[in-house]
Amino acid sequence: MNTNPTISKDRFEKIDKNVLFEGEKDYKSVSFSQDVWRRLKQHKPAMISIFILIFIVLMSLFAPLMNEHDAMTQIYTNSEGESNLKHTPTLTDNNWFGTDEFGRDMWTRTWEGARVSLLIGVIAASLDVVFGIVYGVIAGYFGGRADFLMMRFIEIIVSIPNIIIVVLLILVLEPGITAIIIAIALTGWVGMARLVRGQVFSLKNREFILAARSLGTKPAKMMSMHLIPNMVGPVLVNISFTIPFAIFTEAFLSFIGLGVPVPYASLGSLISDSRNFVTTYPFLLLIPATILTLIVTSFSIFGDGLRDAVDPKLRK
Amino acid sequence: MMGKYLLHRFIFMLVTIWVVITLTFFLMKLMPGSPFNEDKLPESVREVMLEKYGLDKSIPEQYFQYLTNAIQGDFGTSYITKGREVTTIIFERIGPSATLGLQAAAISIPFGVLLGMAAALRRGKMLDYMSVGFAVIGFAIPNFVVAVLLQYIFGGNHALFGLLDKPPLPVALWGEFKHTILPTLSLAFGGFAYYTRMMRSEMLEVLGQDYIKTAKSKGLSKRVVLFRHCLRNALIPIATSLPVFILFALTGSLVIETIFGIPGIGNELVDSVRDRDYSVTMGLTLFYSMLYIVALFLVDILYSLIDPRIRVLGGSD
Repeated sequence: MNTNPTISKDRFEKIDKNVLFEGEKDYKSVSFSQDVWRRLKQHKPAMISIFILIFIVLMSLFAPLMNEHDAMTQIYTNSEGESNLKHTPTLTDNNWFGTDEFGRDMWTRTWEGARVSLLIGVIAASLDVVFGIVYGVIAGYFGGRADFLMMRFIEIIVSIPNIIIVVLLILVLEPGITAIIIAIALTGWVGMARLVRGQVFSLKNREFILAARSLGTKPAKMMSMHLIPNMVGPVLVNISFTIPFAIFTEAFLSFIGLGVPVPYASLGSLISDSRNFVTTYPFLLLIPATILTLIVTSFSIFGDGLRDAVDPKLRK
Repeated sequence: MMGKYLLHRFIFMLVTIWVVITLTFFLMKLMPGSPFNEDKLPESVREVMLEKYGLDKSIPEQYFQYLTNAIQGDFGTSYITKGREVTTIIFERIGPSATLGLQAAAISIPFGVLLGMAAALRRGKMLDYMSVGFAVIGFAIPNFVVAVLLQYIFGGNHALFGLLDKPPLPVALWGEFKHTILPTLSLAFGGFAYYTRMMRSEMLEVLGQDYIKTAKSKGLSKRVVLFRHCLRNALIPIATSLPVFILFALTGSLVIETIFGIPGIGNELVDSVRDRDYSVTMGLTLFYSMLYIVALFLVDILYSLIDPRIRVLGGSD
């Protein structure tokens, strides 16, 4: 019997790792994102929603270039060509979505408005993510007293009505797109922070974290390399709900006169402007309202599908 | 156990109210410009004004004054309309808001619960798909769009698409019951969709529980299982959402009141934002927040009364 603990090198043979042994099957490894995508593809409503969203995003980028009108030019002639200080909203072949009361082209204004709404939604949601992840990871990772204080702080924020914080912040920051984004982000990060903290708590006791810790991984690296990549799924799902919420909030703000400043348009401000004409020119309301509803519905259906795809156990 | 839990929540509620008052005060100090900064105002008049509203004192003194006033229910005075107190505004305006809100609640909660329940019991059938579709879309249409659409349909110049001589319902009037119909429907729409969705998922959750299986296998009749075992448990979240909903009902919707020109609190808040009447905005905000915080406290109590698991495990966190 060989009692020598070191086995001499010549007893090992180097083989090609692609060679299959008898009875062994060739499994392709499937990454997390591929797995999610595979399940998402089977969710028909989610796929339809994603196509609608892509279509709306593309239209908001390129549709304003499709005709010769721009969003700002005002026309002060009526349909008979007479000069008139008050232009009446019209639907003509020349303006695909008609014109508003200043003779501005609604096709261009609507899609540029959709762009502003989407932009506000996406930027506000991204800020939420960054802030929520930092806050949630710190609270969850360190736990104990830090977590206790940080969570009490969140509870206080949650118990102030959201819309009120937004209104106050915009008044303080002077109305404008930046103010809207900041105000929405400042109220929205709380949900994300709670979610991330919960995730950290459930991941913290898993073996791979223990392994990383016993190898001496520093907290910063632990968070960025091991914790955050493992909660991409739930975070993505949360984003798909915060974007429509932000778009909604912006529309609401436009309605109470705190939305995007005047020459610019957003879906919310278009709907708000249409209010005085709705009994006579309903198209001014219907078009932006339909697009807004499509965006919000698509995001929430897509979010549902994504949630099922990320965590099939949750499917009910 | 119960007493300790409630004490905890109560202290926390007080702390939250204090934070909100402090926050509103300092936000108000941050607001651009003083209300009496007009150049035309003679220096002496300006001083009198500042003194009258206590703005000449130091910040800590003002803060202390504001805090004691707010706790006593004095939410300040309008700087723009002379002598108009926020408390008076609230008393004058809460009636219409409450009427609308309670009517909307009376429609949306029962119908939402019924539709959600029916959908859950017919899971995967036509009715289920239709109510889920309604819930998703109903939640995605902002209530102001619903409001403006209703105005168009019932108040448009087409007089209900040529069927009638004049529009059946006024677009913006207040005083009679029929004036409340359109705003109530616009308010109820979102709530209806929300409660349908909530009730459906709660019912599905409860239907999958073991105790339902036990009840069925004991040979209890369908009716008993449904009403005594399913419904009771599925209604817990609905019951606990009531305080917040009632608060929402009392204070009204900012947008709906503005659209229909209803003299309620929400409309007043929007007006004060438009007129930059900061002290009214802040006062109403404070009132809203305090009510909301108290409502959340009630939710906690209600929850722990209905569902003993919360009491034992502590907090809904």
